[in-house]
Amino acid sequence: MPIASLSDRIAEFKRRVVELVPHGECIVGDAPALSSYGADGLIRFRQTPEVVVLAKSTEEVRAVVSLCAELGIPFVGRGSGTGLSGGAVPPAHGVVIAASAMKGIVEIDPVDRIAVVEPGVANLVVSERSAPLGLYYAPDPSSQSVCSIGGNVAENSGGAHCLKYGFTTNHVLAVEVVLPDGSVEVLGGESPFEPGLDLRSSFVGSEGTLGIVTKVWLRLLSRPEAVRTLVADFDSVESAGAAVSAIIAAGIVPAAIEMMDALAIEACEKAVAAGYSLDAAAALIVEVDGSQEEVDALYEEVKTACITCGTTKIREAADQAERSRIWLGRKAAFAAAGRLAPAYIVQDGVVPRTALSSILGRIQELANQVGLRVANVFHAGDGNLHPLVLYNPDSTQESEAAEKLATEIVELCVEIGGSITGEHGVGLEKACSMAAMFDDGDLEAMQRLRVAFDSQGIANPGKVFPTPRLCGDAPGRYRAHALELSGEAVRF
Amino acid sequence: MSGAINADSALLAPASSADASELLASMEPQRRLRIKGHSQDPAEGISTLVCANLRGYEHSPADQTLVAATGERLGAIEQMLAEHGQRIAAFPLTTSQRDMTLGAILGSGLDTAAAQRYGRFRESLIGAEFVLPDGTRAHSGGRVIKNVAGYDLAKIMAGSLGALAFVTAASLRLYPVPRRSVRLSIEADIPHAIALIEQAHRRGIEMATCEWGQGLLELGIEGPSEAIEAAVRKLADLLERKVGELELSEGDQGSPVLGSRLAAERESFGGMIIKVGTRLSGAAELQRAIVGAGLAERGVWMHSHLGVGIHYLGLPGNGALYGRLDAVLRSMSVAGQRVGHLDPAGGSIFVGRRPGGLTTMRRVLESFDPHGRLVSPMRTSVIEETENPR
Repeated sequence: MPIASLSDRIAEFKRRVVELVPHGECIVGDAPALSSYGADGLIRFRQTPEVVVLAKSTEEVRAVVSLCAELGIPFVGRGSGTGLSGGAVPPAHGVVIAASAMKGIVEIDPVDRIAVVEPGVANLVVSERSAPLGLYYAPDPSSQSVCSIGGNVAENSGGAHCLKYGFTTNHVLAVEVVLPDGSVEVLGGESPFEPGLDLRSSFVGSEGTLGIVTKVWLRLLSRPEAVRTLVADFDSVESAGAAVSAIIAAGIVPAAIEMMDALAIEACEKAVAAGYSLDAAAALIVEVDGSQEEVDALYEEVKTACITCGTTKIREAADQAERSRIWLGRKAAFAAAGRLAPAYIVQDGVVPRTALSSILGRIQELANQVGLRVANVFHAGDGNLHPLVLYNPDSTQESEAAEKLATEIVELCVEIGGSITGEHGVGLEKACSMAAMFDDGDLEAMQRLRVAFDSQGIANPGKVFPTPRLCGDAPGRYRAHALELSGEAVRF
Repeated sequence: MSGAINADSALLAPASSADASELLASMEPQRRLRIKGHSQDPAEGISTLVCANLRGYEHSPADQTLVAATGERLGAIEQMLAEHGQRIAAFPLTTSQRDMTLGAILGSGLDTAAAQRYGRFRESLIGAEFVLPDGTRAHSGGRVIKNVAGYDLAKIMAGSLGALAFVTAASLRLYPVPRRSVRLSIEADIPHAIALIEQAHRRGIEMATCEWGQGLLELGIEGPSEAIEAAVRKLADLLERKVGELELSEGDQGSPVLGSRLAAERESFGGMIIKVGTRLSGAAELQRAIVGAGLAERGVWMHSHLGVGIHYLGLPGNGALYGRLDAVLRSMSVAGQRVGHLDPAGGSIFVGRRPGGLTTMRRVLESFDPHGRLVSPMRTSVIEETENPR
């Protein structure tokens, strides 16, 4: 007999779930513990889950998801909870299925350069464990010491070195997933070619709305023979932007080109004293890697491009320790913004690389209009900007102005041909901005993929797609879904 | 609609997304279509929807991106980009590949030697515009190389054999043409080729291409001259030969390059071609199994993008060897797919182990095209495999 009310179904779920997780852990009824899973790295969205399951195996994930499907209870998969778009915020009356205890490294194959890992393994751990074999895992989000591979798959994470080496989607060969109906499938294969539709590519970056990843086959790379890193200071962001363009125009694809403006430099220096110049209006971190001969040749050209574009100072990393210090500063940039203001919003937008300088001017104009400060850090090589909107959370007016400014910045990115997110994902934060980038037809096409994976809509509902409840849209005219038209689903 | 298209025609060649949308929306649900790059032989009761009249492109050299209508020919794109010192992540191309439309290349899931350095061609897809079978216009991705907004529907279109939607434009990430390219040819059987590749990786040599066929391994090295010369010296050391004794050629295009020579051979091959994926090391086991099953002596051959474990197996004749190869691949748990000229009524395109996700593939196909308007060997094969597993 079907259980009618949601509260009855949740009660039934709580009663049955514990026996499905013999090795993992279930958190039921412990309000403080449940609350700690109520948000991800974007703490302004919060929802306490009904139950948290810390699964230890694919079988436990499968069993719990099957129970969710049977009872129609929404769930969200969770890695380390470092996401910055609210993607791991539990759905209302929902269940968190955390993979943080699934930390096994199943295999690292030095000949085939493949790692097979469980989803709770931290990104950096893959590289550390591969290092003795001369290998590493290329995508390197700033949170790589703690963020999980499962979370990286869900968000299609990037990082500073993705300009040359690509994003998570370019380094995931296959994923074992538990689909929202409780079935387990492997999408992709041990080679980049797997027959049939490329479901792997659709799953990567789907933000937990298509299922939960339980095992990942990763492509590893050989550690480059040589790496050289420099910091070039400039007296304007325009000059720094010109240097980026000059490097790319020379046919050089550096391992990374990162840009920071004066405010971001100040924050990083206060936080970790990375040795950046406090009198620079902008700084570029440029890294070149490859064979020793390739690095020697390209590094000199990078320096020449910076000099030609008016750099005021070039600091060259003399050794690995100095290189690490330079990167420590950059990777601490988000947290470092806390040195400048009691609160800040990390934004994530993308513009065509050639528009970087102009959008900085526009961001400054918008910030001036509402009297807020914005620090800017960029993955300059691929046009991915991370404005940090600084504000005082004790002021309702400032808080609202900051949120509005952050939204305006990403919508400005779309206006000039870019994207609302380059690596943080849409999640809850930007669901309402999706309409700025995608029209009804685009969203319908995406929904067709979603319903094929999740006909009940129980996998991380409320994320990615704009909804009238979230976004205050007027409900549109009813349009029959493709499944209704085909007679496979009935609206009731 | 432009008025130039008669919706009742057997050959439908819209000149814009809007035309294609209107055309598809105006059709009866039972109307059957197949999507092709350009005109094909007529099929009974099935109209052909071609992208050949979709033309135009926007190239942003400084952003290293290209948005091109799918009716553009690959050769013209390649030539235009070369004038700007850029290229797509597909090379070397054969003469007939250059004559193919971008839409046909995407739909068929082309792989070239470039997969070694840049991944499969679909990995450089950063966006796509398409029309669903009911006429709904949609796009996914965009024009910037970094973008995680919404689902990546562009890559699922690639290699879908026209089973999901009519793709009208694609956005591509571009790459600079390297300053210099050389090709090193080495006589090597597959175990020796794998060992050499592994040693090269350990020595920090990253190959741009890594092709194997006809007993030859061909390694492509790209970059500044100094780096190429150093890499060649290291390879000579590994081979215990002097640099002057190596068989080196400059450039990455043209018939002398093994990759394009093998691809041209595949195009003119009269038998059945199966594409399979393995780990790098799995190539040796695959070849041993083919020999062990007596298939090699019956003329079955193997070409490989070896470094990434993508292989083509050629079966001469009329398919009589198919069953034996299928058994070999199953015994190794290797999945394959027939490529080349495919007939939707010609049986399943899948060979060997069942691909993962077949049930979900079917749901995706039925969600995108609930009436089964698009006739595609992908759809017929997925349905056949889910209803009557081999």
